[in-house]
Amino acid sequence: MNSTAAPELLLVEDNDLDLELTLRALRQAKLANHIQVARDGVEALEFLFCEGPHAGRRIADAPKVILLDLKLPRVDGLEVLKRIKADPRTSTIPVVMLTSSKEQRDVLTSYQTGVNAYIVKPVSFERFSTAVRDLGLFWLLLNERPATG
Amino acid sequence: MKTAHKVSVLIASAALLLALGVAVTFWAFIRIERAAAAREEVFGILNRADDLLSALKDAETGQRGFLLTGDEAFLEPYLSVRDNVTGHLRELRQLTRIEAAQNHLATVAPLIDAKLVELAGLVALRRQNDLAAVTARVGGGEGKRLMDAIRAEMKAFTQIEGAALAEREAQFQSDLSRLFVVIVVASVVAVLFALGFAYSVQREMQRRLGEVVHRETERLLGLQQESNRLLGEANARLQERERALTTSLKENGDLKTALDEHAIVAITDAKGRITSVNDKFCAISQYTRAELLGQDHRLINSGHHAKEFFAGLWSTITAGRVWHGEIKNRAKDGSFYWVDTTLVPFLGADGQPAQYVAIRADITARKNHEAAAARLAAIVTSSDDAIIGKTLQGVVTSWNPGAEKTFGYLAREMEGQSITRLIPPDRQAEETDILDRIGRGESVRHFDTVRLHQDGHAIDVSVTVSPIRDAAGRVMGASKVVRDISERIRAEAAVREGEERFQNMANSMSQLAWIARADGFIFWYNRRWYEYTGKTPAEMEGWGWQSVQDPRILPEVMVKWPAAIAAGTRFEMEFPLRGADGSFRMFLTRGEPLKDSTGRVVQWFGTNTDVTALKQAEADVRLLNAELEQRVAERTAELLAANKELESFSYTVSHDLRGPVRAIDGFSHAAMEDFGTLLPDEGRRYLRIIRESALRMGALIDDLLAFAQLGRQDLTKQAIDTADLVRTVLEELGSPWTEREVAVRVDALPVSFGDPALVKQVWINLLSNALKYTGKRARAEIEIGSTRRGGVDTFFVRDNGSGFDLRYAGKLFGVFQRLHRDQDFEGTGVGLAIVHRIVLRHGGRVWADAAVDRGATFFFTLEKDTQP
Repeated sequence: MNSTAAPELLLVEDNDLDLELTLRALRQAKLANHIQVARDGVEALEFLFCEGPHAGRRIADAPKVILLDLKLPRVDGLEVLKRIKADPRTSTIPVVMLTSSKEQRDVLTSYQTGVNAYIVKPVSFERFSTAVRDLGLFWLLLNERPATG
Repeated sequence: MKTAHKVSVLIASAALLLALGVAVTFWAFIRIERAAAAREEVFGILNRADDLLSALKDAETGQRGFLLTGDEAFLEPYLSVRDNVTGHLRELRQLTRIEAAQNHLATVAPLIDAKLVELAGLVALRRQNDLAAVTARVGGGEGKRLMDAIRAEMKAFTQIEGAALAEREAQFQSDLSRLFVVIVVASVVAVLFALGFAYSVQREMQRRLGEVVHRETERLLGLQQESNRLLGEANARLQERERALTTSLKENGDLKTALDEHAIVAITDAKGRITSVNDKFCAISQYTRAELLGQDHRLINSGHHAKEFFAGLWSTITAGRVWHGEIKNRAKDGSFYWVDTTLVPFLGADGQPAQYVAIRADITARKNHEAAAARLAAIVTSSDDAIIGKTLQGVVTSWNPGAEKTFGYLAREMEGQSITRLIPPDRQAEETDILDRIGRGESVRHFDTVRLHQDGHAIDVSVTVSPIRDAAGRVMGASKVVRDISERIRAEAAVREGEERFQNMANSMSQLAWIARADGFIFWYNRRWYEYTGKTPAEMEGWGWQSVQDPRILPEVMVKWPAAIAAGTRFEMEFPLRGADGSFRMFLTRGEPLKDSTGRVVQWFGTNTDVTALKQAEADVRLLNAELEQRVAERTAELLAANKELESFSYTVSHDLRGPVRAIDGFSHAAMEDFGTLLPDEGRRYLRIIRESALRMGALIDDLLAFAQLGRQDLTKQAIDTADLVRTVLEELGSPWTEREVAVRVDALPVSFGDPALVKQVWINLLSNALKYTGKRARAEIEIGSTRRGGVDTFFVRDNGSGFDLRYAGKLFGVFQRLHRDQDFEGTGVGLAIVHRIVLRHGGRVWADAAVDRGATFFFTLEKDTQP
């Protein structure tokens, strides 16, 4: 899935099934070309801050949007979010929580930490794929980002 | 006489003149009238003549107009003249009197006729439109000539009439001036007559007056002479009288001196002013002779006697009669004295009193005695008690009104009778005993006994008998004072009765009771006290109760009880008392002070109530309460813990369950998309079923989660614009059902009070239900409104859907309970449970009314009913 061009979308998801369905939905929406997948919070941070296996990257080549799940092993979504929003090099990257949790507590904390959107994953696949497509279209195509470099 | 004759002549002449004047005036009036009438006539004639001429001219002009234009309208004046001219002429002839004028009229008549003919001829020619002939005729000048002739005759006529009028006018004027002269002359003559008449009358009056004065003067002279003569005679008589007077005066002087030695004497003049007083008068009144002379008796007025008294005195002596009486006077130093007075009027020559002589004797001492005696008598008479005077033999000598009232006998019935009449037969010995004691000079004091009333009934009495002594000190009788004491006896009996009743009551009540003196010394205990303590009165009396107190508590009691006694305030305290068996029981002791009208404590009344059982019960209750509270606290803690577990459980369950369910749906969908074509229909059907089941599971999980969350959420109540909320919900729900005809009616909705998010959920659930269950109707009718029931707003949602069987209404609000099959209407069965829970948390109620296939109405309130 990793292409040679800089990924435009970072998808952080630990669940295999959810991952497959999300990628399927993105593919159907013709947005699958520039996706970077991270399986947990550590991978996500390594990618964003160009550490570890991604040491060769430039931080400035940030993705256009990050789709972040809350429940992640090792470092969880909220922690990742904090780190992203705390660092000025990454704080302008839009982060969309894409999670099963409907808990008000989670929503509130996420927003307080600076999340840009919070989507609850619908059970129905049709609704799910519509949501993903709309998300993708919006953040990748419609939304303006500050210029990099 | 001449004068009368003259007067009548004058009057007659005056009357005659007056009549003459009236006649002349009358004649003048008639003349004037006639002249005026004549004038009118002539003017009438002249006018008529004028009119006639004018009419003719108008006719001519009219005719000329017609000749020129041919318009018939112009002929109107001509036509009227033609018809009327003869009449006018006749009239004139009748009116005219002057012959010359008449002649002219005779001349003018044929002229007028000719003129008319001429006019008519021309009119006829014109009517034939023979204009040449007309012009020729007019040019001929015949018409004009005729007209001129007529005008000349009329003018002559007018002149004659006018002249005649002028002549008459002149005549009239001369008549008037003549009349004026006559009137003036007559007036002058009348005035002269009147003056002459007045003058002669006045002359006559003066003459008569002179005669009368002369006569009167003569008469007066005569009278004067007569009175002179009488005076001389009177003078002589007077001198004689004087001589006699001197003699008698001397006699009087001697008598007077004698009198002065014995009595108080004063002489006043007719007006009551003192002219002479003797030395005794000065002595008793303490005024000097100089101070008294010239004064009247007001100087010594004591103010004791009423005005009427002196009025009566004066009327007697001024009438010339002698007056006797007793008078109280005031001396110079203000002290009073009584005098027995005789007033003798000395009549003057005319029979009227000229002087009053007062001869008085000093009776002051006697009067004082009398007053004292009267006072004493009054005391006896007014006393309520019977005061009886009797001899040593028991015979009644005096009987006061009090005795009459007490015994019923009148004074005259008892005086002179024996007193034994009043004594009941069994007490006769008492009287003998009393009389003996009296005889010895002893008194009998407040001796209670019984006596008899006149009507025979017995009276309880208290008797006091004292001896009466004469001037020498010998006992000559007894004075008895008898007081009716029936009232007192009755009162004493009542008190005794009261006491007995009290004692009975106090002894029979279950509490211990006692009475203490004001100083706290208990002098009475009720029976219970002795029963309980097993002690004797002697042991308990006064402060003996201390022996049954708990020694540990006693010090406190001995502080509080004396304090209450000192302050006079109610005493209340709980302390144990030892019973006869030696064990202590707890008593609530109360002492009430009984105060008199001044607020001073007279007695203490106290009770001791056994509260042992009560105290025990109290202690038990307290213990129980403490235990309960503990249990409640424990339970609450348990519940909270359970709740918490439940929360995290339901959260975890719903959250974690979602993932797999999403996978089921997602991959079934992917399978359908990617490989659907490879599958037979049945395979595709299975996949579809899998998907639908997954979605249903997701819905159930969501609802379950929502339901669980409800218990935890805080309720923040605020005012909600219900109408607005409902509208919003309908909008949000509206879209999926645009294929059906849905008629929603929203009535006026009052403001409700609750948690906006939760209340919105209620509306969402109820309204989506309504929409859902009317799905099978071609036209869904939903009504949303509110009523006021039981003091609270009740909202309702009514639909005309499939309704439900009321028999199963109990299941309506249960979780996952459904009254319909999934095939008919999809749903999780949690919606109404959520509604129920939310409404309950607000303190309200939710219920429903429905019939199968006839729709349903769901009612809910958000607050407690205030009225049943």
